[in-house]
Amino acid sequence: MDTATADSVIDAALASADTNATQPAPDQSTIPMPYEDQSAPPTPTQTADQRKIAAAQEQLIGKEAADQLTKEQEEQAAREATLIGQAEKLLNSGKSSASAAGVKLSNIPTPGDLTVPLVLLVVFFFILITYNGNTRFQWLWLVLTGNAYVTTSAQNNQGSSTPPASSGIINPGAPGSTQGGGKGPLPPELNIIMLPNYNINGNYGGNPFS
Amino acid sequence: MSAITWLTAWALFLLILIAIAQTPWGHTIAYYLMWLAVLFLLVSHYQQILSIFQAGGITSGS
Repeated sequence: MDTATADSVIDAALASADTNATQPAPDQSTIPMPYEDQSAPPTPTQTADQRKIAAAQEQLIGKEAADQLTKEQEEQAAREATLIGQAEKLLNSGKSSASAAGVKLSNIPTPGDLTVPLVLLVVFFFILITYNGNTRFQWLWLVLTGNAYVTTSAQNNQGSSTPPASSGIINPGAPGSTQGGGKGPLPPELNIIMLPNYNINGNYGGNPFS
Repeated sequence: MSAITWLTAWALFLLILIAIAQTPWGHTIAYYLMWLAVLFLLVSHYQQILSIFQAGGITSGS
């Protein structure tokens, strides 16, 4: 096919396309939406103009090449529509599932709110969890009643288990002491020492705070 | 395990728990996790709990 013939065919196709462009637009409700039915992806349909252009292409580059080009274009359009549609569908379904689960979870009643279990945990931590033989509550009671005292790490490291003189408490559990008995060697981190309730004169009993 | 590691692990755990509890769905999860922790604590320390109801159970040594 010579070039003049091909040009005339293309011109005719373009002129026809211009004529058709002035016609009213087709009803929008009849246009197939690409994502309406994912089970059967829509196949692109050629309009009369496209067919004319395709025919012109066919005349220009040969039938086989034109068919190949048209086929590739159709496959590309179908693949894009399908992939994008599937991706959007997956994304939307994931969002809606997560949202539904979140709504269900948030609708479960939480009587008393977080405060109730939190306070219970703290209370039980003090009265149930033991450390070096006593719970925190017991250690607090022992310290408050003068049966234990708190030292610094420096005092412990120096081997001094004698309480401050201002406390008025002696330490019968100290090494070499003949009074009472300690609870055994204390870990270096533990700076609280339990004592029998002796006052500075060696007499037992009495509240050291009274 | 050093004290720093221990404290950091606990701080991270609490931060994550607080962050989750800020969301509507995480609030419910955190709430029932707390109750679960209370339940585990009660079950694992039931002997001490029973001893509390005896004379001097709280203030004397366990």
